[in-house]
Amino acid sequence: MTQLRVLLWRVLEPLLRRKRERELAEEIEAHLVLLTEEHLRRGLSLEAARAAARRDFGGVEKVKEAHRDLRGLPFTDTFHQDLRFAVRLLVKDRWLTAVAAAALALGIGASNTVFTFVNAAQLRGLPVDEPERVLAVHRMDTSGRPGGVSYTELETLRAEATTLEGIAGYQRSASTVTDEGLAPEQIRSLYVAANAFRLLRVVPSLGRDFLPEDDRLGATPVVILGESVFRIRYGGDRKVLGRTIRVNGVETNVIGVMPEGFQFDYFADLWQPLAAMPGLTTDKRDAPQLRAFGRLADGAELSEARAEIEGIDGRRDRERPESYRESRLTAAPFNGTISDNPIMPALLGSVGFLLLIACANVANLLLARGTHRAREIGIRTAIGATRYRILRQLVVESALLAGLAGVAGFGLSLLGVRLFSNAVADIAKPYWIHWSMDGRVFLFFAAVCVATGILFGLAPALHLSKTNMVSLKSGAAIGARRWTRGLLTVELALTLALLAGAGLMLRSFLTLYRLDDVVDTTNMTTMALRLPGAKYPAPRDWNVFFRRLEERLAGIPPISSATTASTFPYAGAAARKLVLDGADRSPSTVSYLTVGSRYFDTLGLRLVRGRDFTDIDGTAGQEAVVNELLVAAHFPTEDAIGKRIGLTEDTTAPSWFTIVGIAPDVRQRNLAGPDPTVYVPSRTNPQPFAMLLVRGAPGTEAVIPIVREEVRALDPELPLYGIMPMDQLLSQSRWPYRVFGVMLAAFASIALALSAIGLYAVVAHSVSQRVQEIGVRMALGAEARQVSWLVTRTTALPLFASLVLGLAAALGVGKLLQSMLVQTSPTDTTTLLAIVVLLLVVSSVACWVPARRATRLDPVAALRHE
Amino acid sequence: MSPRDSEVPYGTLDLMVLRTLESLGPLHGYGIARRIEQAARGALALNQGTIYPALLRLQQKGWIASAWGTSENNRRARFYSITRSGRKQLEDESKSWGRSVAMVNRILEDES
Repeated sequence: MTQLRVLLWRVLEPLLRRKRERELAEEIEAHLVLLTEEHLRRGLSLEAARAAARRDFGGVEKVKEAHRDLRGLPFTDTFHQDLRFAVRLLVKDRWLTAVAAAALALGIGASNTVFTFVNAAQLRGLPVDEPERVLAVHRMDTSGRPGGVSYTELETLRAEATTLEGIAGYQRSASTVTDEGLAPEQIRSLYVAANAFRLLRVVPSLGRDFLPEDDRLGATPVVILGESVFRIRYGGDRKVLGRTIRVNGVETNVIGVMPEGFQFDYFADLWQPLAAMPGLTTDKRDAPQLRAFGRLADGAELSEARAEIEGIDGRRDRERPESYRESRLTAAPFNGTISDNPIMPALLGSVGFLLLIACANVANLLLARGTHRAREIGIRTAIGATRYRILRQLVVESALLAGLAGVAGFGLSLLGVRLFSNAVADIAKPYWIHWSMDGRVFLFFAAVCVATGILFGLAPALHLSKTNMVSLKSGAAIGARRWTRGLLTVELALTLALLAGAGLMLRSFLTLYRLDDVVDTTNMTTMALRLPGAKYPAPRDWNVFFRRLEERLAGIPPISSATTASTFPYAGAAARKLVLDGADRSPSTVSYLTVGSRYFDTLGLRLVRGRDFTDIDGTAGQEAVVNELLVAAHFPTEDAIGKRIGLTEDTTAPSWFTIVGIAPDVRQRNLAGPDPTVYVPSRTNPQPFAMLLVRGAPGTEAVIPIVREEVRALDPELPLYGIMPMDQLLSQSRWPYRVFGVMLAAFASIALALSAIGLYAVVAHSVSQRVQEIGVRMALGAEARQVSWLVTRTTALPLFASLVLGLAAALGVGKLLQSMLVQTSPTDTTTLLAIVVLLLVVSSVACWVPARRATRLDPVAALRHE
Repeated sequence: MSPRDSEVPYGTLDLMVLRTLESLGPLHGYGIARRIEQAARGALALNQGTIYPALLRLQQKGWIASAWGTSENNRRARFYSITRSGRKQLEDESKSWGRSVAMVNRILEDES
C-alpha cells in the first residue's frame, strides 16, 4: 500500500513538476527568511545573518536535487533535462558534432549496406515456409566441392530415409517452346520431381500441381508455366490451361501456372516432370547429374538427416567403382549452398573494422573535448552531482550523437544499396535474392546504432565522470592521454588490416585482367542453341546441324570468324577425371570442352605448340588439345605432344585421346584462375546443345540478324538465345573482384581518412594544450624540430604498435580472402609493403600539418596565451 | 542528498520528525528543524535543508500531511502534521528502536 502511494506520487511528477518545484522554492525561501530573522535577533548584521542562515541550511541546490530525486521516477525526471543540455552542447560544438556524426554515419552506413547484402544473399533464403528445414542433398567430393546425385541414389533415399519428409530431384535446363502463331522461344526450365512443389509448400496459382502419375515414363507430357511466361507469352489468358503447346518439339499439356515471383530453383519459368528428361530413368539412372533437395520430417534435425543419409550412402559403397567411394552423399541447408562465399564474411569483417575505427575516432574527439569540459564537470560534481548523474549525462550525449549519425548512416546505406544493386544488376543470381531491407536489417541497424553509442561514448564517459575539483587542478590529462594512445593504436591497426584486404583484392583483380588478356574479345558475340530431341534424336543429327551452321556462317562478310563449342572462356566447363597411361596416381579433375574446328582461331588463341584441330579430327582418331597448366602438372619433363590421356565421368570407362597441341591457359570453371583443361573436337562427343561464338564488325547488332537468318534457314523453329557481347560476359565473370574490390577499397579509403583525421586531431589538440609551454621553450631557444617532436611524439608509440598489430591482423585478412585471391599470396610482400608505406606517408602528413603550426607560433603571443 | 550523507544516523531523522510533530502539532520545516536541534542540545550537526527530503519521504508514505498556512512572521509557509498511520508508525518504530538500543547496550556491556 505504502509502495503504491510512493509510486503514484512519483508517476504524477511530470504533471506536477512545475507546481512542486515552485512550492519547494517558496518553502526554502520562507525557511531562510526565518533563519535570517533569528540570526538578526542575535545581533548580527543583515549581511552576516544571511550568510549564517545559508550556512545553517546547507546547500540549497543540493537539497533541491535530493528532493527532485525522491519526487520523480529515477530516470525520466531528469532525462529531458539531460537531453536539452546535450542538444545545446551538440549545437554549440557544431564542427565537432559534424565531424563525429559524419565519421559514425560512414561506419553505420557501410555496415548496414553490407548487412543488407548478407541478409539478402545468405540469411533470407528461399521464400517458402520454414526455409531453414529445406536441405540440399549432394555428393561432396574430397576437396569439398558439391556434385550431383543419381536417380538411383534418390530412389534409395526416398525409400529409406525416415528423417526426411520427402526428397525431390531436379535438373536445370532450357526448353524450346513453339506453338501456333507465336515465335519460337527458349525458356529456362527445370525437370523436377512431382513432389517438389509440395515439399516447398508452394501451390500453383492456377490449375493443378504435378501428380505422381505425371512423373512416370510414358505418361502424357505435362508442363507448369511460370507466371511471367503465362503473362507475357500467353497474355494472361486462362484458356492456355488444358491447351497443348510444343515443348522441345513434344506436344505437351499445360496443367498449371505458378504464383508470381516463383522461379525455383534459380530462375526457371517452366517446369516439367523429371521423367520427361531424356534418358533419365533408362540409361542415365546412375549418372550423378541431378540436383536434389529434401524437407526435414517433423521433429528431425539437420544433423540426424545428415547422419542418416551418410549411413545409407555408406552401405551402398561396395556396389560402386573405387573413384566413387572418396565422395560422400550429404545434406546441407539449402540456403547456404547458393552463396557460400568467403567475400561475405570478409565484407562484414571490414565494415566491422570500419565501424570500430569510426568509434575510436569519435571517442578520441570526445576525449579531447573532455579536457575542455573538465571544468564544467568539476563544478557539477562540486554542487552535488553524483558520478552516476554525470555518467548519465554523457551517455545521453553519446546516444544523441549516435542517433544523429544513425539517421545519416541509414540514408547512406540506402544510397549504398542502390549503388551496389546497380553494379551487380546484370549478374546471375537466384530469383529470391533482391537487395532490399527487411525487419532483420532494421533490427541489425538499431543494434549497430546502440552498440556504436556505447562503444565511442564509454571511454570518454568513464574517464570524464571521474573528474572532480581535485583531479581538475592536478591535471587529469594523463589518463586521457593513455586512452587516446590506445584508441589511436586500435584505429591505425584496423586501418592497416583493411588496407591489406583491399590491396590483395586489387592485386588479384589486376592479375585476373592480365590472365584474361590471352583471349581477344573485341567484337565477339556469344549465343546459344539447343536442338530439341524430338526433331534431332541422334548424335549424328547434331553433328550435321552444327557443322552446316559453322560452314554457312564462315563465308558471310561482317562475320570474320565463327565457331561452335560446348562452352567458351570464363563461362564454366564440364569436369572430367584425368587418367594417364600407366600412372597409378589418383585421378585429377580437369575442365573439358568440346569445340568446333575453328575454336582457337576465332578466339584469337595462338597455340603454344603442336597443331590445331583439322576438319577431319575426331572422325577417325581421338585428338585432343590440352593447356599449358595440364602439361606442367602431368608432363613436366617430357614432350606432351603424342602422349595419351584418358578422361572419365567417374562411373564410365575412360575414353582415350592423343595430345596434338598445347594451348595457352584460359579461365573456365574456376573464377580465380585457369584449371588444367582438355579440348576435344565436337565430333568426338556430340551434344544437342552448343554455344556459338561469332567475331564480326563492331557492334553485335550487325551480326545477330545475320546469324538469326542463317539459323532460320536451317530450322525455322529454333530460337537463338543467350545473346551477349563477349566483353560484357567477361566483365560479368570478373564482377566479384570489381564490385567487392571497389567496396573494400572504398572502406579502406574511408578508414585511412578517418585515421588521418584522428591523428590530426590528437596532434592539434596537443598543440592547443601546450601553447604556453611551446612559447616558453621557443623563447628559451628551442628549435622548430624540437617543437614538432614535442607535439607529435604522442603519436609515435601508437603508430609503431599499430604497425605490428595491423600486420598481424592483415595476415588474418589474407587467410580469410585466400580462396578469392588470384595468384596472389595472402602474405604478398609487395602489397603489404606498399600499404605500410601508404599508411606511414598519410600519418606523417596528418601529424606534420598541426606540428608545423606549432613551430610557427609567435613566442610572445604564446606566452600570453590563456 | 541521500540520507547517509547527513550526519544523522540513517532512519532516525524520520523518527525524530514524526515525534516532533506528534508532540508539538502542525509545524513548518523551520520549526521542525529548530525543535530537533534544541532537543539534541547541540549534539547533532544538522544541515537544516536535509529536513526537506525527509519531509517529502514521509509525505509520500502517507505518515504526515501538509497544508499551506501563515507563519508567525505572516509569511506563507507549509505546515506539516502527523497522520493516523504516522502515529501508528511512530509507535512501532519507537518500540523497535528501544529494543534495538537495549540490545546494543546489552552487547556493549557484556563485551566490556
